[in-house]
Amino acid sequence: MTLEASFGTSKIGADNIGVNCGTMLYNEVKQFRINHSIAEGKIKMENQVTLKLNYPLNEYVAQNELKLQFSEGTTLGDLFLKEGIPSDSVGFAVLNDTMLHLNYRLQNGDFIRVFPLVNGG
Amino acid sequence: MKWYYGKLLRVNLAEKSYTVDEIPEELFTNYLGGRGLGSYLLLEHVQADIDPLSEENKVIFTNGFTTGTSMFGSSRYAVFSKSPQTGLFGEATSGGKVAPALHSTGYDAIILEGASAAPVYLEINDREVIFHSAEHLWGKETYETEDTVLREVNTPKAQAVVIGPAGENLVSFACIENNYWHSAGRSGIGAVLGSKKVKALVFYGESKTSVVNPELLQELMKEMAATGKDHAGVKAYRRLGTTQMVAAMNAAKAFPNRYWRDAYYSHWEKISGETLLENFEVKPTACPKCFISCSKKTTVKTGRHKGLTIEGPEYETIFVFGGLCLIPELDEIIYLNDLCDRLGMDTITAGNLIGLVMEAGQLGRIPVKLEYGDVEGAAQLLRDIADRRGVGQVLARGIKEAAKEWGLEDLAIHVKGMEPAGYDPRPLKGMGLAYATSSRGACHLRASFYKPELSGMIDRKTTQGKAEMLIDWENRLTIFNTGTLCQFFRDLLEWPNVERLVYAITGLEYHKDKLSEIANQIVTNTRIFNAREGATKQEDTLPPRFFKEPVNNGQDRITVEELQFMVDEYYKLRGWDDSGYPVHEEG
Repeated sequence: MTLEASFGTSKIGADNIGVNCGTMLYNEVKQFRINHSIAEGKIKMENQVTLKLNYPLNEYVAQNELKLQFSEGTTLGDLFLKEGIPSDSVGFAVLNDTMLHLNYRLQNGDFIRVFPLVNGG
Repeated sequence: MKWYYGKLLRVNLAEKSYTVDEIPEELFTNYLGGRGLGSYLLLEHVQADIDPLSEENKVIFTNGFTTGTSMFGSSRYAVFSKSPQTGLFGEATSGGKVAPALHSTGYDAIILEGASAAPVYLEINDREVIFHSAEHLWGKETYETEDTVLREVNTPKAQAVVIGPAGENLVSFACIENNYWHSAGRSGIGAVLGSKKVKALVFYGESKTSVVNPELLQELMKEMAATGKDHAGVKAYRRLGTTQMVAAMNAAKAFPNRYWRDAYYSHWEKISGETLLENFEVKPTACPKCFISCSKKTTVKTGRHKGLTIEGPEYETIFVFGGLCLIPELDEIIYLNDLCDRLGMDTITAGNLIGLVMEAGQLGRIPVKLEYGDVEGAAQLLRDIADRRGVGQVLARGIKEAAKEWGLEDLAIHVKGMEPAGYDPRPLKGMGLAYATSSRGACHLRASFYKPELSGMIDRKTTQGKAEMLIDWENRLTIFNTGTLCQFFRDLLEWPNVERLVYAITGLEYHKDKLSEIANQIVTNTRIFNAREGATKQEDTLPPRFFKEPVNNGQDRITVEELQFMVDEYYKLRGWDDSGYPVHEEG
């Protein structure tokens, strides 16, 4: 079962959250849904990734760090799409010493730092 | 009224006279302006084999085709000369408020010729050139000089460019400063002004050029503003400026430190943009006609430098003092930044040289002991360089000369006598190609190729296709430089918008192919200048250490063969012969 399907089957779908709910509530609801899905066995606990989002990418999710569950086969690009982070705003992503492409398949425990389009002098 | 003036001001410093020459229209249609015009005039007016610090050298200021218009990012000027740092093509650009004032004098280019017998500063407007004595300013730092000449000229719209003690004392990497903290930093043209005894130039006037298609320009700008509003790159520039690169380059493990020994600095968070925002008073500031506001007016809030204010520090200054010299405190970096600005020296070269002394001293290769992280030792050395005292006398001559004198040629990091910026070419091989082939030395701005390499547009570890992509970036940014347009708009102006911009301002319906052809000719002209000075393919290389010493636990390296492959491909695609130099055609 994919993360997308899990969200889609939730009674509190992301699309149902009104725009006036505020980002904080949105994230709380999302975390509730993830926990709920885990409890229902829809997402395996071991598939967790952490995204450390550098400014201004953190603004898309109103958090600097996201802990997310994912299903097997999910790519980094899938995750950006799901979280509403425009991939054309992403400059690069790094896992330990490795630069990642959008088609990188997530692994359990990954800690990925994500940077916007880089702008030096 | 046209989009250019067609006027060249030639100032004879020895005779305190000036003439105005016509610039033929074809020079504008062929080269647009800025770097195109400047590199052409340099080739035309500066003879081969002259001493860069002799009266035979010239200093050329140019406007670009965007200068004086309402275009975003158009408040930059360019300056050209034979570089005392490299002995080759020299160029520097600077933002701030000067460009519109320079443009309002009514000239597309200003050439300073000969040398004054005594210190002078020039007041240039669209009616006359006035030669003022600068005896009372000689020896003064840049801030005081700028304040004084503007007060004395006493004209509301006037703007000044100045040199500091480093320029006066012919330090080979002395820069030109304006608006206190903006620097035409590289190539050492401040020393050329010093050799001519020119302490400052003040510009003002009422002249204007016209935009051929103003509605099209407004339409393009409107689109750019709309795109820029939520653009991640623009937002990052506005909040963090170039300091954002400290985190990014460490994440990419391409942040040079410990004088190019390492590419990841474990203390990077102490000198990051976020730390600057947290611990200092930081206000975004912008050049005129810019919505990005990349600059940060920063005030130190606590400690021994409490109250010290600069615009900055920029990433490159943090990289040299924080990274190469292992000084992990932003307030101390700001202190050294301020000192360089006051003395009028390029921070990239200054910090590289201090790092070299620290490394060489640690290895026991020179009888100078300057520990890594020694702020006051570094500050004293900067002053000694500016005043040409002791060890500073050697370093003032530049890294090539210093390395030769001290037997450090194997240790010193430079290309053609100019040190690289904060992008290590071992993890970023395309930056290696950019550094190696740039006419002014290890220039990071020729193509800012770290951007496509980091963003995955091209694999940073490969050599395949690097030359082709580098040329595409270099060509586009060369057209930016013909407009003296700020490169920080590069994400908002891909080729189609560059075409629209050129058409809107000049009416020239040049498409990418034609603009690339113009860019290619401009790059080729800078190469002809260098070839005339005796430069060969041998100079299109990297420092030996980059080939011998991998970084990141041996993971990242660049080999001689890899560089050679990229360089050969670059020559071929530029249309040059195997030796890498176009056949020199007089004129």
